[in-house]
Amino acid sequence: MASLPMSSSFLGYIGGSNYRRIRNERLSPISADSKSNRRRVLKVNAFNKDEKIVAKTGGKKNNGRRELAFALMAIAAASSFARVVMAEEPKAGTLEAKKKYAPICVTMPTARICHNWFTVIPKPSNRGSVEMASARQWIEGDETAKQFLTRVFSERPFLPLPPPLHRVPLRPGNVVEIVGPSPSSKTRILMQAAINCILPKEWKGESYGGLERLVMFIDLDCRFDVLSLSRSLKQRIIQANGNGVGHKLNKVENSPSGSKDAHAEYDKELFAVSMRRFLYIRCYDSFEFLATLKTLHFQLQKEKEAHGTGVYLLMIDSIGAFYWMDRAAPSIPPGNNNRRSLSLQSVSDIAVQEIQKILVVHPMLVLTTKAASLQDKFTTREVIRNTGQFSVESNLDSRIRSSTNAQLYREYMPSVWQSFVSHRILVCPSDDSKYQKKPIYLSEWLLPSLKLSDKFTINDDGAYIVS
Amino acid sequence: MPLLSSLECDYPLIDSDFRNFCSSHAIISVEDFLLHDLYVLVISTEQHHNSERLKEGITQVLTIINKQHQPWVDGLELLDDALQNKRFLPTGCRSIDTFLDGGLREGYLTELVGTSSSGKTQICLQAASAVAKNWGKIVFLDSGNSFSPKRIAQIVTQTSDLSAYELDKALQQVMNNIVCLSVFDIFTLFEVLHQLKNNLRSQIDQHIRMLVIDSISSLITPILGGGGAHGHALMVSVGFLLKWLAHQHDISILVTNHMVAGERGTSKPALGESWRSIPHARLLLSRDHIRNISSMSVLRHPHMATGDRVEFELQ
Repeated sequence: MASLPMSSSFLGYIGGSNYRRIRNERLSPISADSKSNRRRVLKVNAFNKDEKIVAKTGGKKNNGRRELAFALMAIAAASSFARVVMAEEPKAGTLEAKKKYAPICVTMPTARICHNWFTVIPKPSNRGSVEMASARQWIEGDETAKQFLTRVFSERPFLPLPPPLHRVPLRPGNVVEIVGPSPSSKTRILMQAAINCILPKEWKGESYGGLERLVMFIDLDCRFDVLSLSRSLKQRIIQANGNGVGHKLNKVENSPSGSKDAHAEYDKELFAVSMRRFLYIRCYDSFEFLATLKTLHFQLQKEKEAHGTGVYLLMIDSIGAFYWMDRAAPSIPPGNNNRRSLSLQSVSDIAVQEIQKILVVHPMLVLTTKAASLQDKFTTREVIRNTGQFSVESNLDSRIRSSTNAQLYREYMPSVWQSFVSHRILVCPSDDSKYQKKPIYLSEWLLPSLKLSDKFTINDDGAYIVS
Repeated sequence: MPLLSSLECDYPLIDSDFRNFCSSHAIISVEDFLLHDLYVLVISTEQHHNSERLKEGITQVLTIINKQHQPWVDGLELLDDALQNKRFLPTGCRSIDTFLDGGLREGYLTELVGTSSSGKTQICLQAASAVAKNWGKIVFLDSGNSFSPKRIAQIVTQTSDLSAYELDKALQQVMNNIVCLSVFDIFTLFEVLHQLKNNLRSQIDQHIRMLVIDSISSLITPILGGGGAHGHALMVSVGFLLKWLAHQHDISILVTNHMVAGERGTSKPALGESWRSIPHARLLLSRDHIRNISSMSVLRHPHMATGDRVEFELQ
C-alpha cells in the first residue's frame, strides 16, 4: 500500500506539532480536566517560575531569546525527568522524543539538538538520561559565535533576488506580497526569483550564482506558462556560459563555428537538473488549495528526501484568485449548525494557520502575488482612443504618482492575511514612452515603506533596473 | 468531497467510533476536515480511551485529502507535457499565426476583445474552419446567433484550391467536425460545460481540439452588478472551469468579449477587473473600415510584450 509510509509521516507531524501547541496553551482555554491537560497546566506554571529564575541568574546575558530557550530547556528536561521518577511511563517511540524536543525546537530552530529533529530516536531504556545529557551539552554552549553564524548561514542562506525585490533583505520566514494590477509582470518576477533559486552556485567550473535549492509554486491562477520559465532558464544558462565557454573556445581555437555552437547550445543536463528543482501544482478552487496546504508538510519531507536539499521558496500565485468564489459560498452549511462553513474568512484563517505551522518546521521564504485594481488612469494602457491625453499623463513625475499609488489600490483580503504579510511591494506598468519596445514597470515598497520607486523591465534573461 | 460515512467501506479506519468523534467536532465530510485545525483535533483525541485509533483515523483522512488536490509535478514533467501535448492551432489567417508564434495554443484560454464589427466572430469562424479541416472537432457555443454555416463554407471554398469533388468532401468533413450549440444564459453554459467535462472524462467525446464561445461577455454581463457576490462568483467559476478543460484535455479555448466605455472617452474590455486576470492571452481587435485593414494588439500574453501589434486583412 502506498499509503503506509505516508501515514507514519503524517502522524509524526501531528504528534510533533501536538506539543508545539503547549507553548500557546496560556492563550487557549483548556477545556476538559483530563490527566494530560492538568499536567500541561502544571508545566505552564513551572514555566512562569523558571523563567523568572533564569532571568535573574542570567543577568549578564542580554539575549532574551536565548534566555527563553534556556527556560524552556530546563522545563523540558525537568518534565521528562519528573516523568521517569513518577514512573508514569509514556509510550516509547519516536513520537515522544519529538514531543520532548518540540518546545526547544520551536523557539530555537537552529539549536544543535534540533538538527535531526525528525530523525532523532533515543533508545527507550535510558531515554531520560540521554535527553538530560544532550540537554546539558546544549546548555554548556559548545559553539562559538562564528560557528553559530556559519551554521545559520548554511542552513538559512541568503538568496539574491531579482529587481525589484532586491532593495529589502529577505530571509526564510518572511512573507512577501507582490501587489499590482493585472498584467504587471508579477508572475515573471516570481519566475526570475525561482530561477535564481534552482540554479546551482557552480556547475562544471562555471559560476551560476544560484542557490541549488527547491522551489514550490502553488498556482491558483492556473495561468502558469512553463515555456516562459524554460526560455528564461535557458537564457540564463547561455548567458553564464557565454562569458566562460566562449572565452575558452576562443583561446583554444579561433574557429567561428565552435564559438557559435557554444552560444546556441546550452547545458541540457544542467537545465534538466535545475528544472527538476521547480515543483509545481495548480489548484482550481479553495478546497484544492487547502488540501494542498494540509499535506504540504508531507510533500516537503518527501521532496527533501528525494533531492537532498530542502525547499527555499514557496510561491503562491495569486492569493486572491478565489476571492469571489469564496465570498459567494453559502454562509450556512446544510445539516449541523455548528459546522464550519467555507467562506473567505475561514479559508484565509486556515491558509495562514497552515503556512505558519509549516514555516516553523521548514523555514522558507514565501513569495505571493495579489492582483489589485488601481485607479483607472493606470489601466488606460489597455485601450487608448485618445492618445493626446495619454502622452500628457506620462509627463507626470513618477515619484509623486507612485507615492499616491499606496492609497490607490483596493485591499480586499481579510485582515488575517494582511497581517500575515511581512513585506509588501507594489508593482504597476508605467506609461513611459521612452522605451517603446520593452514595457517598463514601476515598483514601490509599501511594507517596509521606502520612499523611492524603481523602474524595472523583465526580459527572458532577467530583470533589470532602468534609470 | 465525500461524506465520512461513505468512506467506511474503502477505509475501515473510518468506523462509527471515529465518525462519532468527528461529528462531536461538527465534522461530517472530508471538506469539514479541511476547515478544521487538525492539531486541535489530535489533542482532543487524548480525552478518548481509543486515542491511538482516532489518530490513525485522522491520518487516514489526511491521506484521502492528499488525493484531493492535483498532483505535484516538477518543471521537467510540466515542460514535457507542454511540448508534447499542447500544440498550436491555426487561426486561418497566416499573419495572425506568425504573430502569435503559431496560432492559438492548446491549454490556453484566449480572449478576443473588440468593438462591434471589429472582426471577432470572423476570426472565430475562420479558426473553426481551419481547425475542423485538419485537426479535429470543434465545439462552437453561440450566444448571439452569429454562427453561420454558409460563412464557414465560403471560408473553406476560398482558402482551398481543390476540385469540386474534393471540395465537397472537405466541406463535409469540416461541417461534421463542428458542433454548434446555442447558449443564451450562463446556466445553460454551465450545463454544457459540465456535460463536456463528463464526456471528456469518460472519453465519449474524443478529438475535441477547440472550444469557441462567441460571445462570453453577453452571457456574463446580465448576472454582474446588483451588489451581490454571486454574479462575480459565477463568472470566476466559468473561468476556472474553462481553464480546467483547456489544461486537462489539451483544448484551445477561444472566447470573445465586447468593449464598454471607460474613463475619459476611452473604451475598455467588458467584464471588469476580476475577469482580467482569468484568460491566458487577451488580444484586442480593431478595424479601420476605410482602409479595410484590421489590427490585433496584445493586451496580455504569457510571453509576448503588451502592445505588440500586427495588421492584416480579413476576407
